[in-house]
Amino acid sequence: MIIARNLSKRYVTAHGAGRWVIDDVSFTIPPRLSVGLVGSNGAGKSTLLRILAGVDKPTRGEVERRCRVSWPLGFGGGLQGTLTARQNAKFVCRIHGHEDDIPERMARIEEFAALGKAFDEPIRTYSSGMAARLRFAISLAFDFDVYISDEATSAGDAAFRKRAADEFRRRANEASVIMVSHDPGTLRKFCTAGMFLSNGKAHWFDDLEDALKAYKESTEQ
Amino acid sequence: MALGSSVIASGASRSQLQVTLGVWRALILREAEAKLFASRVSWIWVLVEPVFHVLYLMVLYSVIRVHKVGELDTAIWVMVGLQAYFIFRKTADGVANVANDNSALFAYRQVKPIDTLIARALLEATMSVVTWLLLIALVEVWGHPFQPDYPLEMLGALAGMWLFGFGFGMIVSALTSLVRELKLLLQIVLRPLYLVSGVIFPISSLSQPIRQVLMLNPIAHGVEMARSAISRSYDAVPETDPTYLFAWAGVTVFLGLALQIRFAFRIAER
Repeated sequence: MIIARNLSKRYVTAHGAGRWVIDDVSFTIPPRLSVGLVGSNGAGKSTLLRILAGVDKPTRGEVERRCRVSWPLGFGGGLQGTLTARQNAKFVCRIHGHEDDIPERMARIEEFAALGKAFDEPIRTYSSGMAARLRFAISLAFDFDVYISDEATSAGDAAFRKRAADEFRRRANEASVIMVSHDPGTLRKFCTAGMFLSNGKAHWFDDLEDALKAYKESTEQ
Repeated sequence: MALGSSVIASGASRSQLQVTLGVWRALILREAEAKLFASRVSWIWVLVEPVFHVLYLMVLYSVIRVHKVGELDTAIWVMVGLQAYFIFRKTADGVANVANDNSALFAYRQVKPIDTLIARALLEATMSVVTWLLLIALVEVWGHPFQPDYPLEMLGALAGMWLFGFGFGMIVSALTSLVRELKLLLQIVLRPLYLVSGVIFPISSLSQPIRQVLMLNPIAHGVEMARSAISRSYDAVPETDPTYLFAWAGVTVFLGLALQIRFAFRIAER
Protein backbone atom coordinates (compact mmCIF):
# COMPACT_ATOMS: atom_id res chain seq x y z
CA MET A 1 0.00 0.00 0.00
CA ILE A 2 1.24 3.45 -0.88
CA ILE A 3 -0.37 6.48 0.71
CA ALA A 4 0.18 9.97 -0.67
CA ARG A 5 -0.98 12.84 1.49
CA ASN A 6 -1.37 16.36 0.10
CA LEU A 7 1.53 16.08 -2.31
CA SER A 8 2.67 19.28 -3.96
CA LYS A 9 5.75 19.77 -6.04
CA ARG A 10 7.37 22.62 -7.83
CA TYR A 11 10.92 22.96 -9.05
CA VAL A 12 13.22 25.89 -8.60
CA THR A 13 14.09 27.36 -11.97
CA ALA A 14 16.56 30.02 -13.03
CA HIS A 15 13.77 32.56 -12.53
CA GLY A 16 12.75 31.57 -9.04
CA ALA A 17 10.07 29.08 -8.03
CA GLY A 18 8.35 27.43 -10.99
CA ARG A 19 4.70 26.49 -11.43
CA TRP A 20 3.10 23.78 -9.33
CA VAL A 21 3.71 20.57 -11.29
CA ILE A 22 1.69 18.66 -8.72
CA ASP A 23 -0.82 20.60 -6.69
CA ASP A 24 -2.21 19.16 -3.44
CA VAL A 25 -2.78 15.57 -4.54
CA SER A 26 -3.85 12.80 -2.15
CA PHE A 27 -4.52 9.16 -2.93
CA THR A 28 -4.06 5.64 -1.65
CA ILE A 29 -2.92 2.80 -3.87
CA PRO A 30 -4.08 -0.48 -2.32
CA PRO A 31 -1.85 -3.57 -2.40
CA ARG A 32 -1.64 -5.49 -5.67
CA LEU A 33 -3.47 -2.88 -7.69
CA SER A 34 -1.60 -1.82 -10.81
CA VAL A 35 -2.08 1.75 -11.86
CA GLY A 36 -1.36 3.42 -15.17
CA LEU A 37 -0.57 7.13 -15.23
CA VAL A 38 -1.70 9.15 -18.23
CA GLY A 39 -1.39 12.80 -19.13
CA SER A 40 0.28 15.04 -21.65
CA ASN A 41 4.00 15.81 -21.65
CA GLY A 42 4.96 17.88 -18.65
CA ALA A 43 1.82 16.96 -16.73
CA GLY A 44 3.98 15.65 -13.86
CA LYS A 45 3.81 11.90 -14.48
CA SER A 46 7.52 11.26 -14.11
CA THR A 47 7.73 13.67 -11.21
CA LEU A 48 4.96 11.81 -9.42
CA LEU A 49 6.70 8.49 -10.06
CA ARG A 50 9.97 9.83 -8.69
CA ILE A 51 8.25 11.08 -5.57
CA LEU A 52 6.45 7.75 -5.05
CA ALA A 53 9.78 5.95 -5.44
CA GLY A 54 11.36 8.22 -2.84
CA VAL A 55 13.97 9.61 -5.21
CA ASP A 56 12.55 13.11 -5.22
CA LYS A 57 11.11 15.03 -2.31
CA PRO A 58 7.70 16.67 -2.52
CA THR A 59 7.71 20.39 -1.80
CA ARG A 60 4.80 19.73 0.54
CA GLY A 61 3.05 16.63 1.77
CA GLU A 62 4.37 13.14 2.33
CA VAL A 63 4.41 9.61 0.95
CA GLU A 64 4.10 6.55 3.13
CA ARG A 65 5.31 3.28 1.64
CA ARG A 66 4.01 0.23 3.48
CA CYS A 67 5.67 -2.17 1.07
CA ARG A 68 8.85 -2.73 -0.89
CA VAL A 69 8.97 -0.19 -3.68
CA SER A 70 11.48 -0.34 -6.53
CA TRP A 71 13.48 2.58 -7.86
CA PRO A 72 12.00 4.20 -11.00
CA LEU A 73 12.74 1.67 -13.73
CA GLY A 74 13.37 2.64 -17.29
CA PHE A 75 14.57 6.10 -16.45
CA GLY A 76 18.16 6.58 -17.55
CA GLY A 77 20.78 6.66 -14.87
CA GLY A 78 21.66 4.35 -12.05
CA LEU A 79 24.53 2.91 -14.03
CA GLN A 80 28.17 4.02 -14.14
CA GLY A 81 29.58 4.08 -17.66
CA THR A 82 33.15 3.17 -16.85
CA LEU A 83 32.14 0.05 -14.90
CA THR A 84 31.01 -3.24 -16.35
CA ALA A 85 27.47 -4.57 -16.10
CA ARG A 86 28.69 -7.04 -13.49
CA GLN A 87 30.20 -4.34 -11.31
CA ASN A 88 27.11 -2.15 -11.62
CA ALA A 89 24.79 -5.01 -10.78
CA LYS A 90 26.90 -5.91 -7.77
CA PHE A 91 26.61 -2.36 -6.50
CA VAL A 92 22.82 -2.46 -6.70
CA CYS A 93 22.78 -5.78 -4.81
CA ARG A 94 24.96 -4.29 -2.12
CA ILE A 95 22.87 -1.20 -1.50
CA HIS A 96 19.80 -3.40 -1.20
CA GLY A 97 21.48 -5.41 1.51
CA HIS A 98 22.19 -8.60 -0.42
CA GLU A 99 25.82 -9.04 0.47
CA ASP A 100 25.46 -12.80 1.07
CA ASP A 101 23.63 -13.98 -2.03
CA ILE A 102 25.37 -11.84 -4.65
CA PRO A 103 26.43 -14.86 -6.78
CA GLU A 104 22.86 -16.18 -7.14
CA ARG A 105 21.48 -12.76 -7.95
CA MET A 106 24.26 -12.08 -10.42
CA ALA A 107 23.41 -15.32 -12.18
CA ARG A 108 19.75 -14.28 -12.39
CA ILE A 109 20.65 -10.86 -13.79
CA GLU A 110 23.14 -12.25 -16.28
CA GLU A 111 20.67 -14.79 -17.53
CA PHE A 112 17.75 -12.41 -17.91
CA ALA A 113 19.73 -9.58 -19.50
CA ALA A 114 21.16 -12.11 -21.98
CA LEU A 115 23.97 -9.77 -22.96
CA GLY A 116 26.53 -12.52 -23.47
CA LYS A 117 30.14 -11.40 -23.31
CA ALA A 118 29.10 -7.74 -23.11
CA PHE A 119 28.16 -8.37 -19.47
CA ASP A 120 31.82 -7.87 -18.59
CA GLU A 121 32.32 -4.84 -20.80
CA PRO A 122 31.97 -1.23 -19.60
CA ILE A 123 28.43 0.16 -19.86
CA ARG A 124 29.61 3.07 -22.01
CA THR A 125 30.16 0.64 -24.89
CA TYR A 126 26.48 -0.40 -24.75
CA SER A 127 23.73 0.62 -27.09
CA SER A 128 20.74 2.24 -25.41
CA GLY A 129 18.73 -0.93 -25.87
CA MET A 130 21.40 -3.04 -24.16
CA ALA A 131 21.59 -0.63 -21.23
CA ALA A 132 17.82 -0.73 -20.88
CA ARG A 133 17.85 -4.53 -20.86
CA LEU A 134 20.46 -4.51 -18.14
CA ARG A 135 18.48 -2.05 -16.03
CA PHE A 136 15.40 -4.15 -16.39
CA ALA A 137 17.22 -7.37 -15.53
CA ILE A 138 18.75 -5.81 -12.42
CA SER A 139 15.35 -4.67 -11.20
CA LEU A 140 13.89 -8.15 -11.71
CA ALA A 141 16.56 -9.67 -9.48
CA PHE A 142 14.77 -8.21 -6.49
CA ASP A 143 11.30 -9.14 -5.32
CA PHE A 144 9.61 -5.80 -4.96
CA ASP A 145 5.95 -5.47 -4.05
CA VAL A 146 5.53 -2.47 -6.31
CA TYR A 147 7.50 -1.78 -9.45
CA ILE A 148 7.69 1.84 -10.52
CA SER A 149 8.08 1.90 -14.26
CA ASP A 150 8.67 4.92 -16.47
CA GLU A 151 8.31 3.49 -19.98
CA ALA A 152 10.50 0.60 -18.81
CA THR A 153 8.73 -2.12 -20.76
CA SER A 154 9.30 -0.28 -24.03
CA ALA A 155 13.02 -1.05 -23.80
CA GLY A 156 14.92 -3.45 -25.99
CA ASP A 157 13.93 -5.33 -29.09
CA ALA A 158 10.67 -7.19 -29.69
CA ALA A 159 11.91 -10.50 -28.27
CA PHE A 160 13.13 -8.89 -25.10
CA ARG A 161 9.95 -6.84 -24.70
CA LYS A 162 7.92 -9.99 -24.82
CA ARG A 163 10.11 -11.73 -22.27
CA ALA A 164 9.94 -8.70 -19.98
CA ALA A 165 6.18 -8.52 -20.28
CA ASP A 166 5.82 -12.24 -19.52
CA GLU A 167 8.05 -11.93 -16.49
CA PHE A 168 6.09 -8.92 -15.30
CA ARG A 169 2.79 -10.70 -15.69
CA ARG A 170 4.10 -13.82 -13.97
CA ARG A 171 4.75 -11.68 -10.93
CA ALA A 172 1.40 -9.97 -11.10
CA ASN A 173 0.10 -12.25 -8.36
CA GLU A 174 2.52 -10.98 -5.74
CA ALA A 175 3.55 -7.65 -7.20
CA SER A 176 1.98 -4.64 -8.82
CA VAL A 177 3.10 -1.87 -11.12
CA ILE A 178 2.71 1.85 -11.17
CA MET A 179 3.58 2.84 -14.68
CA VAL A 180 3.79 5.64 -17.17
CA SER A 181 3.45 4.84 -20.83
CA HIS A 182 2.27 6.69 -23.89
CA ASP A 183 1.10 3.44 -25.40
CA PRO A 184 -2.46 2.52 -24.30
CA GLY A 185 -1.80 -1.10 -25.28
CA THR A 186 1.03 -1.41 -22.76
CA LEU A 187 -1.09 0.14 -20.04
CA ARG A 188 -4.00 -2.21 -20.77
CA LYS A 189 -1.66 -5.18 -20.55
CA PHE A 190 -0.53 -4.43 -17.01
CA CYS A 191 -2.91 -2.04 -15.29
CA THR A 192 -6.47 -2.16 -14.05
CA ALA A 193 -6.81 1.30 -12.52
CA GLY A 194 -5.77 4.60 -13.99
CA MET A 195 -4.79 8.08 -12.95
CA PHE A 196 -5.12 11.07 -15.22
CA LEU A 197 -2.85 14.02 -14.51
CA SER A 198 -3.58 17.51 -15.73
CA ASN A 199 -2.92 21.01 -14.43
CA GLY A 200 -1.26 19.66 -11.31
CA LYS A 201 -4.30 17.64 -10.29
CA ALA A 202 -4.64 13.87 -10.34
CA HIS A 203 -7.95 12.22 -11.21
CA TRP A 204 -8.40 8.65 -10.05
CA PHE A 205 -10.33 6.06 -12.12
CA ASP A 206 -11.00 2.54 -10.88
CA ASP A 207 -11.10 1.46 -14.50
CA LEU A 208 -8.13 2.27 -16.70
CA GLU A 209 -10.41 2.72 -19.73
CA ASP A 210 -12.10 5.69 -18.07
CA ALA A 211 -8.73 7.31 -17.41
CA LEU A 212 -7.71 6.81 -21.04
CA LYS A 213 -11.03 8.26 -22.14
CA ALA A 214 -10.63 11.30 -19.91
CA TYR A 215 -7.14 11.84 -21.29
CA LYS A 216 -8.34 11.48 -24.85
CA GLU A 217 -11.15 13.97 -24.32
CA SER A 218 -8.76 16.50 -22.85
CA THR A 219 -6.55 16.32 -25.95
CA GLU A 220 -9.49 16.79 -28.30
CA GLN A 221 -10.67 20.02 -26.72
CA MET B 1 21.08 8.49 5.40
CA ALA B 2 18.15 6.28 4.81
CA LEU B 3 14.59 7.36 4.58
CA GLY B 4 12.21 6.29 7.30
CA SER B 5 10.63 2.83 7.30
CA SER B 6 12.94 1.49 4.64
CA VAL B 7 12.29 -2.08 3.66
CA ILE B 8 14.51 -4.12 1.41
CA ALA B 9 13.61 -6.47 -1.30
CA SER B 10 14.37 -9.69 0.52
CA GLY B 11 11.55 -9.03 2.95
CA ALA B 12 13.62 -8.55 6.08
CA SER B 13 13.56 -5.03 7.36
CA ARG B 14 16.92 -3.37 7.89
CA SER B 15 17.56 -0.63 10.38
CA GLN B 16 18.51 2.77 9.00
CA LEU B 17 22.05 2.28 10.25
CA GLN B 18 22.34 -1.04 8.44
CA VAL B 19 21.12 0.53 5.21
CA THR B 20 23.59 3.40 5.55
CA LEU B 21 26.56 1.16 6.36
CA GLY B 22 25.64 -1.12 3.46
CA VAL B 23 25.53 1.87 1.12
CA TRP B 24 28.90 3.17 2.32
CA ARG B 25 30.47 -0.22 1.82
CA ALA B 26 29.02 -0.52 -1.67
CA LEU B 27 30.09 3.01 -2.59
CA ILE B 28 33.66 2.61 -1.35
CA LEU B 29 34.10 -0.67 -3.23
CA ARG B 30 32.57 0.84 -6.33
CA GLU B 31 34.64 4.03 -6.20
CA ALA B 32 37.82 2.06 -5.63
CA GLU B 33 36.97 -0.21 -8.53
CA ALA B 34 36.12 2.71 -10.82
CA LYS B 35 39.28 4.58 -9.88
CA LEU B 36 41.80 1.76 -9.82
CA PHE B 37 40.53 -0.46 -12.60
CA ALA B 38 39.10 2.00 -15.12
CA SER B 39 41.79 0.81 -17.50
CA ARG B 40 44.61 -1.69 -17.21
CA VAL B 41 47.18 0.71 -15.78
CA SER B 42 44.99 3.27 -14.04
CA TRP B 43 45.84 1.87 -10.61
CA ILE B 44 49.49 2.69 -11.26
CA TRP B 45 48.56 6.22 -12.19
CA VAL B 46 46.36 6.80 -9.14
CA LEU B 47 48.98 5.59 -6.65
CA VAL B 48 52.19 6.56 -8.39
CA GLU B 49 51.24 10.06 -9.51
CA PRO B 50 51.29 11.56 -5.99
CA VAL B 51 54.43 9.62 -5.14
CA PHE B 52 56.18 11.02 -8.21
CA HIS B 53 55.01 14.52 -7.48
CA VAL B 54 56.55 14.32 -4.02
CA LEU B 55 59.73 12.57 -5.12
CA TYR B 56 60.32 15.10 -7.88
CA LEU B 57 60.22 18.01 -5.47
CA MET B 58 62.27 16.11 -2.89
CA VAL B 59 65.06 15.53 -5.38
CA LEU B 60 64.84 19.08 -6.70
CA TYR B 61 65.13 20.59 -3.26
CA SER B 62 67.76 18.35 -1.75
CA VAL B 63 70.04 18.51 -4.79
CA ILE B 64 69.74 22.13 -5.82
CA ARG B 65 68.91 23.85 -2.60
CA VAL B 66 69.91 23.49 1.01
CA HIS B 67 70.24 20.22 2.84
CA LYS B 68 68.48 21.36 5.96
CA VAL B 69 65.37 23.44 6.55
CA GLY B 70 64.93 24.46 10.16
CA GLU B 71 67.22 21.64 11.32
CA LEU B 72 65.25 19.07 9.31
CA ASP B 73 66.44 16.96 6.38
CA THR B 74 65.16 18.86 3.32
CA ALA B 75 63.89 15.75 1.57
CA ILE B 76 61.82 14.76 4.59
CA TRP B 77 60.70 18.37 5.07
CA VAL B 78 59.34 18.47 1.53
CA MET B 79 57.77 15.04 1.70
CA VAL B 80 55.92 15.57 4.97
CA GLY B 81 54.73 19.04 4.00
CA LEU B 82 53.44 17.92 0.62
CA GLN B 83 51.77 14.82 1.95
CA ALA B 84 50.04 16.81 4.69
CA TYR B 85 48.88 19.33 2.09
CA PHE B 86 47.75 16.61 -0.33
CA ILE B 87 45.53 14.90 2.18
CA PHE B 88 43.64 18.17 2.54
CA ARG B 89 43.62 18.99 -1.15
CA LYS B 90 42.65 15.58 -2.47
CA THR B 91 39.96 15.00 0.14
CA ALA B 92 38.51 18.48 -0.42
CA ASP B 93 38.56 18.13 -4.22
CA GLY B 94 37.15 14.62 -4.20
CA VAL B 95 34.40 15.36 -1.70
CA ALA B 96 33.42 18.59 -3.48
CA ASN B 97 32.89 16.85 -6.83
CA VAL B 98 31.75 13.34 -5.98
CA ALA B 99 28.03 14.13 -5.70
CA ASN B 100 28.12 15.60 -9.19
CA ASP B 101 29.98 12.63 -10.66
CA ASN B 102 27.66 10.12 -9.02
CA SER B 103 24.35 11.85 -9.63
CA ALA B 104 23.15 8.76 -11.54
CA LEU B 105 23.15 6.84 -8.26
CA PHE B 106 20.56 9.04 -6.62
CA ALA B 107 18.01 7.07 -8.64
CA TYR B 108 18.23 4.60 -5.74
CA ARG B 109 16.58 6.12 -2.71
CA GLN B 110 19.02 4.35 -0.39
CA VAL B 111 21.84 6.54 -1.69
CA LYS B 112 21.92 10.14 -0.50
CA PRO B 113 24.48 12.71 -1.65
CA ILE B 114 26.15 12.77 1.77
CA ASP B 115 26.79 9.01 1.50
CA THR B 116 28.88 9.50 -1.62
CA LEU B 117 30.81 12.31 0.10
CA ILE B 118 31.60 10.21 3.16
CA ALA B 119 32.61 7.22 1.06
CA ARG B 120 34.93 9.40 -1.02
CA ALA B 121 36.54 10.94 2.07
CA LEU B 122 37.23 7.48 3.51
CA LEU B 123 38.64 6.32 0.19
CA GLU B 124 40.96 9.32 -0.05
CA ALA B 125 42.22 8.61 3.47
CA THR B 126 42.96 5.02 2.49
CA MET B 127 44.80 6.06 -0.65
CA SER B 128 46.83 8.56 1.35
CA VAL B 129 47.92 5.75 3.68
CA VAL B 130 49.09 3.73 0.67
CA THR B 131 51.09 6.63 -0.81
CA TRP B 132 52.61 7.31 2.61
CA LEU B 133 53.77 3.70 2.88
CA LEU B 134 55.24 3.79 -0.63
CA LEU B 135 57.07 7.03 0.10
CA ILE B 136 58.41 5.85 3.45
CA ALA B 137 59.79 2.73 1.82
CA LEU B 138 61.35 4.77 -1.01
CA VAL B 139 63.06 7.36 1.22
CA GLU B 140 64.38 4.57 3.41
CA VAL B 141 66.10 3.06 0.38
CA TRP B 142 67.29 6.47 -0.72
CA GLY B 143 68.98 7.03 2.65
CA HIS B 144 66.70 9.59 4.24
CA PRO B 145 65.22 7.70 7.18
CA PHE B 146 61.69 8.62 8.12
CA GLN B 147 61.62 8.38 11.90
CA PRO B 148 59.16 10.78 13.50
CA ASP B 149 59.91 11.67 17.10
CA TYR B 150 56.21 12.15 17.77
CA PRO B 151 54.25 9.68 15.64
CA LEU B 152 50.96 10.42 17.39
CA GLU B 153 51.27 14.14 16.73
CA MET B 154 51.98 13.29 13.12
CA LEU B 155 48.79 11.24 12.88
CA GLY B 156 46.93 14.02 14.65
CA ALA B 157 48.12 16.62 12.15
CA LEU B 158 47.10 14.41 9.22
CA ALA B 159 43.73 13.64 10.79
CA GLY B 160 43.17 17.37 11.24
CA MET B 161 44.01 18.04 7.59
CA TRP B 162 41.72 15.22 6.47
CA LEU B 163 38.83 16.48 8.59
CA PHE B 164 39.32 20.03 7.36
CA GLY B 165 39.39 18.78 3.77
CA PHE B 166 36.22 16.78 4.37
CA GLY B 167 34.39 19.74 5.93
CA PHE B 168 35.62 22.14 3.29
CA GLY B 169 34.61 19.75 0.50
CA MET B 170 31.12 19.31 1.95
CA ILE B 171 30.59 23.07 2.08
CA VAL B 172 31.86 23.55 -1.48
CA SER B 173 29.67 20.67 -2.70
CA ALA B 174 26.55 22.23 -1.18
CA LEU B 175 27.30 25.79 -2.25
CA THR B 176 28.22 24.94 -5.83
CA SER B 177 24.95 23.05 -6.22
CA LEU B 178 23.15 26.26 -5.25
CA VAL B 179 25.37 28.71 -7.12
CA ARG B 180 27.11 26.94 -9.96
CA GLU B 181 29.35 29.90 -10.84
CA LEU B 182 31.07 29.54 -7.48
CA LYS B 183 33.09 26.63 -8.81
CA LEU B 184 35.16 28.78 -11.15
CA LEU B 185 35.73 31.39 -8.50
CA LEU B 186 36.93 28.78 -6.02
CA GLN B 187 39.34 27.33 -8.54
CA ILE B 188 40.96 30.71 -9.01
CA VAL B 189 41.08 31.42 -5.29
CA LEU B 190 42.41 28.00 -4.31
CA ARG B 191 45.13 27.72 -6.94
CA PRO B 192 47.76 29.70 -4.97
CA LEU B 193 46.99 27.75 -1.80
CA TYR B 194 49.86 25.44 -2.65
CA LEU B 195 52.24 28.39 -2.48
CA VAL B 196 50.93 30.27 0.54
CA SER B 197 50.59 27.23 2.80
CA GLY B 198 54.33 26.89 3.28
CA VAL B 199 54.47 23.62 1.41
CA ILE B 200 57.43 24.43 -0.82
CA PHE B 201 59.08 27.28 1.06
CA PRO B 202 59.42 27.82 4.80
CA ILE B 203 57.03 30.40 6.22
CA SER B 204 59.37 30.76 9.20
CA SER B 205 61.86 32.50 6.93
CA LEU B 206 59.47 35.38 6.29
CA SER B 207 59.28 38.59 8.31
CA GLN B 208 56.59 39.40 10.77
CA PRO B 209 53.54 41.03 9.20
CA ILE B 210 53.53 38.64 6.23
CA ARG B 211 54.05 35.62 8.44
CA GLN B 212 51.12 36.52 10.62
CA VAL B 213 48.86 36.94 7.60
CA LEU B 214 49.94 33.62 6.09
CA MET B 215 49.33 31.83 9.37
CA LEU B 216 45.66 32.80 9.21
CA ASN B 217 45.46 29.88 6.81
CA PRO B 218 44.71 26.70 8.80
CA ILE B 219 46.45 24.53 6.20
CA ALA B 220 49.78 26.20 7.01
CA HIS B 221 49.26 25.15 10.63
CA GLY B 222 48.65 21.53 9.63
CA VAL B 223 51.73 21.48 7.42
CA GLU B 224 53.93 22.84 10.21
CA MET B 225 52.36 20.52 12.78
CA ALA B 226 53.23 17.49 10.69
CA ARG B 227 56.81 18.71 10.29
CA SER B 228 57.32 19.44 13.96
CA ALA B 229 56.20 15.89 14.71
CA ILE B 230 59.25 14.61 12.81
CA SER B 231 61.92 16.03 15.06
CA ARG B 232 62.02 17.79 18.41
CA SER B 233 64.76 20.06 17.04
CA TYR B 234 62.69 21.39 14.11
CA ASP B 235 62.16 25.15 14.20
CA ALA B 236 58.49 25.42 13.35
CA VAL B 237 56.75 28.71 12.67
CA PRO B 238 56.20 30.08 16.18
CA GLU B 239 52.53 30.82 15.49
CA THR B 240 51.76 27.13 14.81
CA ASP B 241 48.74 26.12 16.88
CA PRO B 242 47.02 22.72 16.64
CA THR B 243 43.87 24.15 18.20
CA TYR B 244 43.53 26.56 15.30
CA LEU B 245 43.49 23.78 12.69
CA PHE B 246 41.10 21.61 14.69
CA ALA B 247 38.78 24.54 15.33
CA TRP B 248 38.56 25.11 11.58
CA ALA B 249 38.11 21.40 10.95
CA GLY B 250 35.34 21.13 13.56
CA VAL B 251 33.47 24.20 12.35
CA THR B 252 33.67 23.27 8.65
CA VAL B 253 32.60 19.65 9.26
CA PHE B 254 29.63 20.84 11.31
CA LEU B 255 28.64 23.49 8.80
CA GLY B 256 29.20 21.12 5.89
CA LEU B 257 26.98 18.41 7.38
CA ALA B 258 24.28 20.97 8.15
CA LEU B 259 24.34 22.29 4.56
CA GLN B 260 24.34 18.76 3.15
CA ILE B 261 21.26 17.82 5.16
CA ARG B 262 19.46 21.08 4.40
CA PHE B 263 20.08 20.89 0.65
CA ALA B 264 20.22 17.10 0.17
CA PHE B 265 17.58 17.03 -2.54
CA ARG B 266 18.89 20.13 -4.28
CA ILE B 267 22.33 18.50 -4.49
CA ALA B 268 20.82 15.27 -5.82
CA GLU B 269 18.75 17.14 -8.42
CA ARG B 270 21.52 18.67 -10.49
